[in-house]
Amino acid sequence: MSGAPLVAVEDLRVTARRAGRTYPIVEDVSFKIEAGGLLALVGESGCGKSLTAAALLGLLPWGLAVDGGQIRLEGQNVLELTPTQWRRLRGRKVGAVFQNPLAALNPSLPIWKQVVESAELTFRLDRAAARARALELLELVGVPQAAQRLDDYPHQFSGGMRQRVAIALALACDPRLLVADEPTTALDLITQAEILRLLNRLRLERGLAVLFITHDLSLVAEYADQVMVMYAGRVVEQAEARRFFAGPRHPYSRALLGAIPRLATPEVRLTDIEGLPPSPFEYPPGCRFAPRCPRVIEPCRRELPPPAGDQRQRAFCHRPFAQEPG
Amino acid sequence: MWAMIVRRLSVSAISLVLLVTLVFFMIHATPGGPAYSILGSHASPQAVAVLNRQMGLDRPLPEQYLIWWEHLFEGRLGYSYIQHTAVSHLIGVYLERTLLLDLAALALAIAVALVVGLLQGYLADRIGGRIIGFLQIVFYAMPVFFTGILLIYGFSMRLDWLPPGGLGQGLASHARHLVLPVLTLALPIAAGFSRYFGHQAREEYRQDYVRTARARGLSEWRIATHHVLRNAVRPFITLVGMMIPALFVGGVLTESVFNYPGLGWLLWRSALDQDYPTLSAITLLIGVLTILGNLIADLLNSILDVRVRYE
Repeated sequence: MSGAPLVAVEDLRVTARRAGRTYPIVEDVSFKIEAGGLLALVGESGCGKSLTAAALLGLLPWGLAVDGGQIRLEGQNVLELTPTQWRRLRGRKVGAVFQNPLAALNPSLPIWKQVVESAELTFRLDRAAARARALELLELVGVPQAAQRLDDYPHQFSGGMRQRVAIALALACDPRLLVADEPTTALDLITQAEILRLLNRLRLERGLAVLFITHDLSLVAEYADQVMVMYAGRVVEQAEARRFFAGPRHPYSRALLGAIPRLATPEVRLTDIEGLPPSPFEYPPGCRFAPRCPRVIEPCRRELPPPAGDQRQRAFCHRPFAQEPG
Repeated sequence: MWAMIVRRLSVSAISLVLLVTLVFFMIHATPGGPAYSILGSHASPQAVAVLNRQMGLDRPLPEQYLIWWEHLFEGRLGYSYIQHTAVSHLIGVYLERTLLLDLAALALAIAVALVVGLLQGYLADRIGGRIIGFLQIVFYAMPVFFTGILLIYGFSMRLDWLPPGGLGQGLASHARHLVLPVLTLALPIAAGFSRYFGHQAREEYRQDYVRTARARGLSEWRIATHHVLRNAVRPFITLVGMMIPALFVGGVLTESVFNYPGLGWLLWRSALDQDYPTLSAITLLIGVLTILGNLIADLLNSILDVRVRYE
């Protein structure tokens, strides 16, 4: 590890205002990603993973705000920037791809215009340079016969191709970090694998850091070098990927891994988790997973769980599973 | 695309034929026929018969229908016995004034609707967006004669800035005379247009491509003008095309409030005087303008909407 990490989020806190009161939606989220690193942020719907990404991009929905902590991009705390300064960083330092590739592109503009729009404005490219850059980007993300497809409209592309185009859009200004918020969820399995391989290639070849958000742990097992699991707005486990997949220590992480079907061992029953996650407006005191946890003990219901483990694998749990050698 | 245009043109042509036919039968359905309305309801049967023969009204209906078409092609719209001029001449004079008023109001309403609608779409449920929504309902519900009288009271009587009505002499004076009628006519239309377009814009602002655009660091101005507008404007164009008759109806009221001698004013006068030739010519003209407005809106849409173009 050399110097400051590309992205460092410390004690991030996102709150919602409702009827004069503030409710924490995301709390105490801290992570770092190095250039070329891939952090998988995993959790159920509503656990705060997408809001963490939105906070990182400065695109929180109206009514939500960052209420504490730091977001450092290449050492600079972006929370201290004015909205315009932060906007100028988007695209240039951080790019983003989202879940639904069918809606991510403007239906009434040819794709080359969309792909280079941000680069065109940022670097003041003329038409020829912009088209050349668009071609370069589409080839980078693996759109076949890109030269013939520059003038096509989004509806002429398949879902997987549109997600590639969306990635090209995000990369137009050469950002150092790509936030990928469930980019493969809407795609079929084979296309999912292709998109993941593309993202992996981009980080290996170009040193692009990736924050990959997903609810599907099996998807990231192969490529992630860090895993962070969130539940009800808090991080429950954070680990190097190898350690994590060797043996997750938090009961919730175990349950998530247990919910993945495995072809190799058909006789094992899939485990599911009883109950539903709590609403942000009625988080229980103590560990938020306690009401659903099979290993719950008395302190879980009273006190926030302390971190257990070391830098390489840390679970926020009163009664974590033992660490596997790895 | 050409097939689409041909298809669209033939729809317009059919509508036009139906319109002309309908107006023809409308004239013949008037109580007592045209002769009575020209000569008055106490006219002697002899006088009516003479006039009917002069005007060809004693001939069989199909023949009259063909003559009706023939006259239309020659631009002969009949003779107004009330105004004592050819209707075509009458229309020419009044149409110009009305087009000036209506088109100015339409342009103003569209401009206001685009700006306000984009702002409303951007603000959505925030307090500013709600205030805009409330004002739209207020202005939409205000009848033209009410706003008109209010504006005359404020700007003409109290402040004495603008003339309360009539027609000006020369360009500057004409423009000054147009300000209040244009405002009056444009206000409820702008309210309606902006509400509709604001709704469209709001839908577009919810789309993922707006988030993608923000994530690329595009400015809100750029997003509004290059992304949201482009997508939200298509249904709006259709609405504008459809609203042309309403514009004209609003124009009738506005012209009578401001005593502005346009086609609407002429329509109102002719209705009071039972001047059927003029009435039917104006009806015909409004119909033609409506068909034309819808045609232009659809063609504009097909140029803008690539998905229609590729079909």
